Amino acid sequence: MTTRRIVSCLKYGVLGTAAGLVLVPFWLLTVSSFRNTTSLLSYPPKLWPNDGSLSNYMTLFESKQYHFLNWLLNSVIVSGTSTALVLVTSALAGYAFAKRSFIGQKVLFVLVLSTLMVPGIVTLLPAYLIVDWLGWTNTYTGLIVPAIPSAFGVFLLTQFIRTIPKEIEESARLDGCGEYKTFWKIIFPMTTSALAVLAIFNFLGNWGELLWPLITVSEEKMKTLTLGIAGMKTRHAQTSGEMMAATFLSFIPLFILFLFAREKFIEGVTVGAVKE
Amino acid sequence: MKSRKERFKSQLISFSFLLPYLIVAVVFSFLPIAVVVWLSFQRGSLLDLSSLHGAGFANFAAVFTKSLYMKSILNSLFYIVVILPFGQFIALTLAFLLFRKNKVNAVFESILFLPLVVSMVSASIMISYVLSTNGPVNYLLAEVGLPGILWFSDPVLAKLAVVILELWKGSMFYVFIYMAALRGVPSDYIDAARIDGAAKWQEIVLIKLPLIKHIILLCVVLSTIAQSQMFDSIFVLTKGGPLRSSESIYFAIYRAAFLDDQIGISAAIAILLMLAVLAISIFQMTVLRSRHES
Repeated sequence: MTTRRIVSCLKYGVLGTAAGLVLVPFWLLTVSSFRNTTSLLSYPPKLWPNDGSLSNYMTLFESKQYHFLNWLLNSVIVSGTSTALVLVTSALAGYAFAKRSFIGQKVLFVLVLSTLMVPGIVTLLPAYLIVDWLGWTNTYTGLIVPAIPSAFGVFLLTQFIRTIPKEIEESARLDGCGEYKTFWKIIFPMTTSALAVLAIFNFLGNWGELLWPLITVSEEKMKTLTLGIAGMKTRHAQTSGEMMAATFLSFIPLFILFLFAREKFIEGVTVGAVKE
Repeated sequence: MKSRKERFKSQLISFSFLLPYLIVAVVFSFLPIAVVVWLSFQRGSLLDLSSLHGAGFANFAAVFTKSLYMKSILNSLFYIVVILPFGQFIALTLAFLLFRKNKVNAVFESILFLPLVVSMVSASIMISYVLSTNGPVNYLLAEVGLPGILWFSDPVLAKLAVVILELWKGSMFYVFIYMAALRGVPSDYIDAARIDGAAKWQEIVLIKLPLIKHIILLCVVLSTIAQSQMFDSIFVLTKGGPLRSSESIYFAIYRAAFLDDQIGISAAIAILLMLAVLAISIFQMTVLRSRHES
């Protein structure tokens, strides 16, 4: 009995410590977002914002120095649109690979899968040259279109659509559905559970993307939220109250979504491991 | 039997489903891979592409002879070697403590998931405050009478700060992979072990660990690949400094192309990284396949 109690104490001790180490930085960020930069940099650090105010948040929204609302809007537009386009193109291509047949199908599928293994930075410089040549730098198009081809999405949807029984398509055809109608009315709605997982995976990745906007966006107003926040931290301003407030606002929408769709979120994040 | 014409039409329709993906993929995935291979044998400036001219293997030679680039490769190896064991140990421990589903565990699970919801940039901002000169960690050290640590002005400490950040955010990913694996272990194995009188620790070490061996291998590979692609954490936390001492391979590829205007060398490092990642992936596939067959 006593050894059992010791084991249980040890277990919750370890879990409690881990949970604490995860939560403390979040708490400190929240507290810091209410304190002004001068008091933030002074000693000692505080666990409660008793010298706090909303001034950092006001500055973010009102001062001409930051384009916070633009950044937020850009991130919503860019991540939302590119995720929607990834879902549609992946589902279409997944259907082509899983249920249709055409010349070169196998070769193309292997080719798509092999791009999965290529690190993102390998294509960064050429992709930048192409986007620059097209005149897409500092535009939504330049941020959205190169993010559309998702080999991972195609792979995921191909695997998923393969499990849909043949009979469903056949009965749709007997009912007089054309080729495209069969896809849009029958197959596409059946993929929602896989699409939801892909949507979370893709949206989180896109929302947090730093490198691509970093090289293709130079205008302050066209920055995404992630790039804007990264740019607030410079050699001279390692920490500032505004930076903390902006970071806090950048993940609060994601936290709220997470609370509502906990299981889907966990699936959406861990799905990346099935790439093998 | 369908006529030739009908079959051709059916092929065209099949292909049309693939087309939207294929067009963007050709322009932004396939073509860039070809271009980067070509660029790795060129020398010239990003600002004047007409100046590009053949350079043979000079770019690859530069990667191995200039200490600047070699150092970034060594740094990435350092990150992999340090983060891999610590990250996997943390993840396995937490997964073993949490995989049984109940209400208390669900709360811990949600908390441990939080670092995966936020971006690496957000995580970097948080950790950079925690480790700052007048920040909480140095405050705690002062409270127990120890001198503060200036994480960002020492080459080794700066790398360790990046390690702390990567562990804080990254290792939680593997907790959830391991938890899913442990939940998938059939209960009859455990029942049999219990009937044989196995103790709790024996259950873990002798039964469960071997059963999830292939998942551990998978996570080791995933972690190696992920740590070879570190960028955001370094860019925000240390900016590669002090004096470029915390730069990773990824950072060096970015810097060579966009700050140092050495696009040929940047492409050459990218090719080397791609080959390394391919080798790791192929190794993993062959090992996993032989396991499936046996």
